[in-house]
Amino acid sequence: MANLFNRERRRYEAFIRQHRPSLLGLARRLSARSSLEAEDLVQETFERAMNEFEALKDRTDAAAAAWLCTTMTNRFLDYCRRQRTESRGMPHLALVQEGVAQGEAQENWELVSTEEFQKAVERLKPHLRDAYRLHAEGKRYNAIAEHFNVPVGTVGSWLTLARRDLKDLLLPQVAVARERGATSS
Amino acid sequence: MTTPCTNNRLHLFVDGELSATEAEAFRQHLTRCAECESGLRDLLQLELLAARALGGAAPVAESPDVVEPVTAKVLPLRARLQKVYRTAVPLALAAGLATVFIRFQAPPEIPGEVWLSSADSRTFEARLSHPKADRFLPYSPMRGTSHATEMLPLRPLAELEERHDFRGIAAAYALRGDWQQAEAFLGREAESADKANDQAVVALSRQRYEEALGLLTSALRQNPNHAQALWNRALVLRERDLLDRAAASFDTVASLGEEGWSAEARRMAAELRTQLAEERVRWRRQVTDAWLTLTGDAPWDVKQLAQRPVVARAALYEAVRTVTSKEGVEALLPLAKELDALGGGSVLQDYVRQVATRDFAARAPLAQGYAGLLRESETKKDATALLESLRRSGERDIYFGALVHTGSAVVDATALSALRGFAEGTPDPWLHLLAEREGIRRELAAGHTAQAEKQLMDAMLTCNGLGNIAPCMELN
Repeated sequence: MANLFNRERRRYEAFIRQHRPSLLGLARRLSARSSLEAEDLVQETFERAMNEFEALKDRTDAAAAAWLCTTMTNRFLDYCRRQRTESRGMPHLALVQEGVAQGEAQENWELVSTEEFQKAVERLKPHLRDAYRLHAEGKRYNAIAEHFNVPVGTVGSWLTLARRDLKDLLLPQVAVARERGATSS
Repeated sequence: MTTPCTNNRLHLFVDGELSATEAEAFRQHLTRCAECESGLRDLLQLELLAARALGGAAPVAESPDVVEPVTAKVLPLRARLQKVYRTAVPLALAAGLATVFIRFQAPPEIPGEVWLSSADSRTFEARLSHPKADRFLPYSPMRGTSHATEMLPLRPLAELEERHDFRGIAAAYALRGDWQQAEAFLGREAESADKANDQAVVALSRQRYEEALGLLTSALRQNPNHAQALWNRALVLRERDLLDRAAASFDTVASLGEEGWSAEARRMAAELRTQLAEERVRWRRQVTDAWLTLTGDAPWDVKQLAQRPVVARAALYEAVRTVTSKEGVEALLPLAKELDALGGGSVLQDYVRQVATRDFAARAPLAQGYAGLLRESETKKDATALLESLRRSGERDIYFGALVHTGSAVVDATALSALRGFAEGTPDPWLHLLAEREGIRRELAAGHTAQAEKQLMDAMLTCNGLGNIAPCMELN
């Protein structure tokens, strides 16, 4: 039994190693300029993951990442609600909403592999694609604006368009994947 | 009027482009606006995918004024130092603390804290070659990145740089989880087994296992008893699920008698072996159960069996090899179809159909002989006669199964070439891997460890790439 436990522990550690960096990057953006600590957000998310690890460990990377993302988003929204109720002297009503809305978004995204995503990025219009890549590399709007010699506001619109197009490109694939899953199981 | 929902507010918020007040207002708005909440969920999933697929670190907006592109992360030490210096020195002078200067020039002694000398646990499993960074401590991954925030003292690092001790600098960064800096400094270190080992640690941390193994092999070629390289090689092999080889590498570390490490290596080896043994027993039991179901009299459910496709596939092969009639083989077709639908192609259906055309008057006794072999896998005395009959018969699939089952190909070159010959004639990649495994076992028996481990890593990669159709653990 001890060995099984060790095996699980190692798998869990590997799981953390694999997902932590990208999740932390996201958490930092969510918690920027607030009293929320990105590390705490990620820590809480992995604590939840530990409880669910039995179910998570055999899922695809994409599915596990989508689960983590949804869970972290929920934790973040909880924080926002707490802030709001606290600032109004209200009790923590929001915590009751725990577990709501875990569904749809996660189910769609968990079927998208990183390869499919890369292909979708390739298919974006050149300026949207290049702007999105720069953004994904960590460039801020003003740096991207400088790169293209356009106003900062334009960069915002480009990224919004790029994301809309990515979603449009990826979601039909999700429908196909879902159908495939339905016929093969 | 600008409501929070318009003007791409959500995107600006997630990208850290709002001011503190605007961000706060948006967070409040988020809790009341279902549309923005759902938009946030989608957007975050997309951004996480981007981070995973495009590999860049997501932009971090600690403060609206600080723009630190990722590319600027690897800063030469001197530049960093100058940056600190430029601000620190005028301040110090203004405060009348000119001693800062003197201390700055003081005779260098590298404080242990550069390599976290006061830490009471290791945060990663791999071993660096620098003696100060390779003290034995209990491993405690959950305390994770706490060291990352600990400031690296720049002065001693500059001193190390003067001494061209890039490996020492890299170790200091690595201990704080800054692999990018560690890698950059290692690039400047002169070639050595130690350098290759440390580069392998970086590769391991980035999950570039094949690269790591290559570097470690090179380190061990230069110094076969390089403790850290042997240890790290065990980790790489373990990450690729080559538990048996990983245990062997830990054994070698244990035999070096280093304080702390030796006992830990022994424990790791034992743990891996038990785990592998448990998994083997479990795997064989599952396959045997499924095989008995398929060849038994009771009806079985295709869908239910296909829920464990890897087990079902192995059991299907055994069933086709052991049934004694055309009808018996044809009854397996639905499962072959179901599993082909999961794995792609028509490998299994073709196999079943082809066996159904065999002459069962000749095949049945051999099939029974093979079934006997499966039932009494411990007693190997009759196998020689059976193998000989199989070799002379045209029932090559059964011969293949028996060769794999008895492991004869490891000691018998003719058997190995028969095994390979058969594998090459079938389109099932798993059978190719099995034949390859037997060949690799032969290499190992001959003492060609490094080459065999490289091949095993490749085989494991291929196996994992097959999707969930093959029992990759069996490559051990």
